[in-house]
Amino acid sequence: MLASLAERLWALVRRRDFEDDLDEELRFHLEMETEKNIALGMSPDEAKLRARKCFGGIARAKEDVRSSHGLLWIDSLGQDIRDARRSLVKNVAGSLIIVGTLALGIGANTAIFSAIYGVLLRPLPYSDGDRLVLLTHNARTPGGAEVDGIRFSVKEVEDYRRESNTLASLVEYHTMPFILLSEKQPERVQTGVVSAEFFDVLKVEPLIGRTFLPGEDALDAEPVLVLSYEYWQRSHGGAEVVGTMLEMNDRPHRVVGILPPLPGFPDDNDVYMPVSACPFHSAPSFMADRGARMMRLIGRMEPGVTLAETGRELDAIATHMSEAHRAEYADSRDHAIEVTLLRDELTKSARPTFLLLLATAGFVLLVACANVANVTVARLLRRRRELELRQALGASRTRVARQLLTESTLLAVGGGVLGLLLSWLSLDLIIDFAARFTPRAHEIALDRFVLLFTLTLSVLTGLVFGTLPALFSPDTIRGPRLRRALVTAEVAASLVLLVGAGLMAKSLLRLHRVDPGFDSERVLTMMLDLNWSKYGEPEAVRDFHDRLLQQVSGHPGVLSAAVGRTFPLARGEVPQEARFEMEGASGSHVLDLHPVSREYFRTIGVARVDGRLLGEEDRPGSPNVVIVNRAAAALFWPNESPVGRKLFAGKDAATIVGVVENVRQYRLDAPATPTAYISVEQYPLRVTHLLVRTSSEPSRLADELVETVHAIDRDQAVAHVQTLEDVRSESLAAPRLTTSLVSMFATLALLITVAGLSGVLALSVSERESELGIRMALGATPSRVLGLVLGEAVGLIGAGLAIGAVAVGLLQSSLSRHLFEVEPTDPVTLGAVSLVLVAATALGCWLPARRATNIDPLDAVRAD
Amino acid sequence: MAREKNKEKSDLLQGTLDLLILKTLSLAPMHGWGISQRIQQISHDVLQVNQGSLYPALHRLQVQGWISSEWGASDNNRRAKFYELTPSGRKQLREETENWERLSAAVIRILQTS
Repeated sequence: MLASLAERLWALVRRRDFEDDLDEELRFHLEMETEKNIALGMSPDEAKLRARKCFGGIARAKEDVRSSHGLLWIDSLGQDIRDARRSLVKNVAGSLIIVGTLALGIGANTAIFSAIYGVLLRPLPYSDGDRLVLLTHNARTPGGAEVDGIRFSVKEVEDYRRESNTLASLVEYHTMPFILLSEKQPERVQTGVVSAEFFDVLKVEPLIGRTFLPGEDALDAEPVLVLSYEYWQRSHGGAEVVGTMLEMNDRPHRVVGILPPLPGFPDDNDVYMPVSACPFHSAPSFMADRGARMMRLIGRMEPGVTLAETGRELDAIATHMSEAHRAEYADSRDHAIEVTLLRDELTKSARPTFLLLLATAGFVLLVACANVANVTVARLLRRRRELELRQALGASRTRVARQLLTESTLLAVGGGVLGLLLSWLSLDLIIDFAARFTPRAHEIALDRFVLLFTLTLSVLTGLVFGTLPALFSPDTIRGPRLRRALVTAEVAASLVLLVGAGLMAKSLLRLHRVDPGFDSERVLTMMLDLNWSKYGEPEAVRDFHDRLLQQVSGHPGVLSAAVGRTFPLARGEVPQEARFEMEGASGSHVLDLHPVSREYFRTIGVARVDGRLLGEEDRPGSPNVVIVNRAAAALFWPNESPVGRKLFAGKDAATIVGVVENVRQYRLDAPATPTAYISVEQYPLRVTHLLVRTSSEPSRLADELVETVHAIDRDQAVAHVQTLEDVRSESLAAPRLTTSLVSMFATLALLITVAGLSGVLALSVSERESELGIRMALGATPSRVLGLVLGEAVGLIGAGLAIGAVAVGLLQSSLSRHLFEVEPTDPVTLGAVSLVLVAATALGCWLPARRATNIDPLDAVRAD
Repeated sequence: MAREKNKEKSDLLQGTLDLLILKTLSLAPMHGWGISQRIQQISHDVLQVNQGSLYPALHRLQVQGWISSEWGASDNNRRAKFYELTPSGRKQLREETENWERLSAAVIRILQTS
């Protein structure tokens, strides 16, 4: 047996030899026969002809020889594929519909999976990334309020380094913008300030040159820089820069290396410097102050140590530390260190959205599969004669089933290839989309894992919709129950998707309509980062701002101008907070702190609620004033006006002079936090944003305003010129894109379902053609016939809606996290969505129903 | 598959050709043409072997392991493929011969009773 199998395989491999052999064998036979005929007295030509005739069909004989060798199933698989191709080509339209449907389903899943694989599943690009952790310090105020996400001071870092045994290493990180002077314009570069071992702990190998050496973060070390890959490409075009000097903070810095492309974590930094090169970090007063908490900490756990063990040990160290330095930790208690895997931190905002999209795409594929299974069943019924003939001619049931399976797999793989193409075309969109959630977006690619996923998915899909009809007995396939069940499932799945899309759309609408507390129309913003060395003194900063605002305000087309530390909905802005004690309220509380200039509120359209806004009189030297928002007023002085009350921060005091409307500062979907606005004149800032309200389209003034800045200081860098309207729109880009994707998937599912329903009804009408014809012949009116057909449709849709509603109920809780001010059970949305579904499916019923009423009773009766 | 392929008309009963081939080869190794001539000759031209179906049968028997083949020189010194009975082919011949005898005896009995 084994020998003969080997022989067959050998025959397959040596196919050519086999054919040559056979030819020679048959040729020999014919020659012998011819010779015999010549010996019998025929002419050579006649003898040859006679021999051939006697032999019969040579091609047929050869075919039979091949099949008697049964180049076994491999050969018959080839046959199956040829047969399948023939039958698929015969019904091009049907095949294209199936391939197209599957391509959409598989394409959607491939695209989403590529994002999920690239972002959530792929190991971090740092080697051994699963031992990397991020440390966060949490505590409580004496009053019991939670204070999360506290950063670390130099003194604290020293303590953790010394005491921890679970961490093999611990490195510091913070980020700051600095001005970099090169031959070109002064440039603002986001700078990651890190311990010398930072890149060793992440195990990042430089692309060119080196990263930092041990000891390069010592105070007396030469300032050095490592450039990020993206910055190097953007600013230096990938030229040879290692070894050159770049001027920063009034000091030359030597470029020692270029990093490989990495996720922008913790931030999208342009360059990196050791902590000693940072003028803030290396200041002696900063290093000595245990309360100067600016750094984030990344650790590498010792091998074999768990996250929980590390967390427990660090908790103990924190508690011990707070007891050893009671005075410095007087305003907090219950110190704990939260240890998060770096991987989870990198992807935490992407995970829920991506999983939602995967579930959505999965539903679409299920609908597509159900539909394709139905189309297959319908085709099967049409081909019943052909298949029955095959069986009558001796093809076994498995042989027929195998042929059907081959057809469906061929279709599914075709769908997969097309789907892959679709996802390849949409890859850039997916990366852009993912970039709004995670720095790992640029790791998304259609690599071999994704290809494997798509291949598996295609083959599985083919098996699912191919075996479904093959699994059931011919009676079940012929009967309407299977078809109806499949369509009902499609309707149910469509309802779930439509409800999801509807709720998200409504939620997006709510977000668009939400009153942000400011007016984003016709406001231009740009970032001004005053050079630290030139504007070291508060007077210089104040002078610059005075001149700037004066000149900009005088510009024609400018209604008002202001500067502020930041502006609402600015992307990637880190809140600045300050702790105050308040007159008339107990304990100390954290308020969001926004230094702004006089015209800030008028420029961005924030309404005054009580008291006054900032005025001419609030100059340096005059009494410190503060304006609070309504949230702060309501929280701390619920039953009275806060105007005239005092706030204390250490030795400083300021008087509340006014209350303004709440502003959604960070996200449109988050309520305003208690906020205090102070005057930039009283607290000068080097890094500010210029805000300009214009009388016409603001972006037209952009160039002139940048020139105005350069007229005051030729070396001043201007960055992030944008309109507030764009900023606001941008802040909704992520939910908008998610909603569009879900809606697109839902629409897709609905279209497939409508087509499926229409097909099933059409089939059922054509099957009942003679029955309906007889009914009409016996006097049934067209409306009665219509009723019969629609009755079936209503049953299917109704059952689908009911099942879908149950599913929506089950999925409620996972939906609600993606919604803003909309309940998952929102009756308006549910009603509207059901209406859309019913209307769309009714449209699908129309064609078959019309056909039913157009049946000619005579034709129908004669047909049999 | 095999069943479909043997539908064409044969001058021999289904399965009989196999038996005759085995029987012929039990006398001496032979090439395809020789087998067809031998069957015709021994049966005094009663049995006409359809030459087109001879070769599929030969290859089928070979796949089943009852005969084996080897290229050799024919009487007139040409290259020809010679078939030879294997031990399991010999056993198969015995069984099929018994079957055939039983069957033909039964058929004869039926024909005589009518």
